[in-house]
Amino acid sequence: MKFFKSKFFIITLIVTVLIAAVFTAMSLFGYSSYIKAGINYVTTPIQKLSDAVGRALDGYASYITEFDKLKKENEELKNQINEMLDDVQSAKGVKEENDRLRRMLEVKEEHLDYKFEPADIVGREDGNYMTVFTLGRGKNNGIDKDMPIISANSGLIGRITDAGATWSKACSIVDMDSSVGAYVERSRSSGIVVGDYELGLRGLCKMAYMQSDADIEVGDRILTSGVGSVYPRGLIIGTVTEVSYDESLRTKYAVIKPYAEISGLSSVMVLTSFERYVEE
Amino acid sequence: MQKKNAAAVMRMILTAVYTAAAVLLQCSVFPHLRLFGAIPELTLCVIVCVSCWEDEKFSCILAVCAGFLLDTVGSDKFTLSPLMFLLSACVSILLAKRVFAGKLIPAVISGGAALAAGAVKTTLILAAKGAPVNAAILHTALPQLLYGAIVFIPVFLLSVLHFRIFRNSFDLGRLRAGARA
Repeated sequence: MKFFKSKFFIITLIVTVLIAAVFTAMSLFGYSSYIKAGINYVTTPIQKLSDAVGRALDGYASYITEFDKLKKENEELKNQINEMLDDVQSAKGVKEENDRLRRMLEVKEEHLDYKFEPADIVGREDGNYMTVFTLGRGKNNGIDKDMPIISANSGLIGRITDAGATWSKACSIVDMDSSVGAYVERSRSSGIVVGDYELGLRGLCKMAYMQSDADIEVGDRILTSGVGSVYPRGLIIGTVTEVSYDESLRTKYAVIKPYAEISGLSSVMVLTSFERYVEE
Repeated sequence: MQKKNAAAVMRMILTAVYTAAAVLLQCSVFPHLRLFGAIPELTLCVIVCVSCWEDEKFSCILAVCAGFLLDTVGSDKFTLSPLMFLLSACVSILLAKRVFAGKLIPAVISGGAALAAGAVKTTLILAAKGAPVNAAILHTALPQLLYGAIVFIPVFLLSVLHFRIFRNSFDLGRLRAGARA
């Protein structure tokens, strides 16, 4: 008991409470500290290594919990592979690479105002309540906070939340901290795409705050509205898989399947420059 | 005396290295080894076990540093881990050195309490972010607690092994004095 009354313990407790309060407040108000930046600068290369180990072990735990499902899925996939193998065996790798590069070129040609910075995902802190990607490029490559990140097929992935000299952190659109101004391509009905806890578990997000008579249907494509200037107008967010009505808010909402394959990403493109949308 | 101190210092340095490795494992490797959709509080388990064996002051400092490192590497908006780890270390110290003479019971009790506190923290943060409490408990907090309990066993056994390899007569005398008290 004497230890808990000692000066050392009381000072340690006060310092800890102060650390918790100061750093939480700084983070909530959008300030990043030099201490955190320094720690990330040192740990990012080590993280890259340990993440490589993690990737090698990827999915092992699911053998325990989803064995039957995986077994069935495996049989189905084997059948599919056998059917497809003859057609694509020789040129598959080359074709995929070619497609990816062509899509990148198409995006560049389609949006002349876009400037890209390709970046590899070197770490993925898939915590219990958030998913943060660590990218292997940072301020030295022109990447900064709040820049949008997209996939090779021009699907929106998320935005940069923090950047250091050689690293940057990004959160995805399925994260609960994310909100993106959006509209329905077909009807121009607008809303906000936000992360939702339960949908996020299935890799989906939600388009909320739509008017009760908004024209939206399953299969509609959802694009970024450009309002707020964080994202350019017209990036593909995803497609509608379900439309419902929120009784409490008296608004319509839709479940969105992201266009970009967020779970299996290994590289992304950071939009370092684009023409800001001005509402008429 | 110098030899005894050298052994204790060596053990403390290794303990700090293990804890840093636990933080990196929790942030990089365990997300790929999810069980029932959750990742375990590996660093918390390490802190609880270390606090049962190690010097009180060292345990407290290690708990705060590990918590801060975890929240920084994990890019958590809420820097609550230092406080939670410090309180968990205190429970371990109190049980291991004051209440019980043996080490297994206090480690299990404080480990259980710390993991439960971790699950409560996760639920509260998820609720603060707008997730339904029931779903947060069912899909994340409960699996996290169970997975943490599974991970706790090998961590505790390794900590026992580590202490046995690096212990010295100074530690034994201190433990006996603690048990008598």
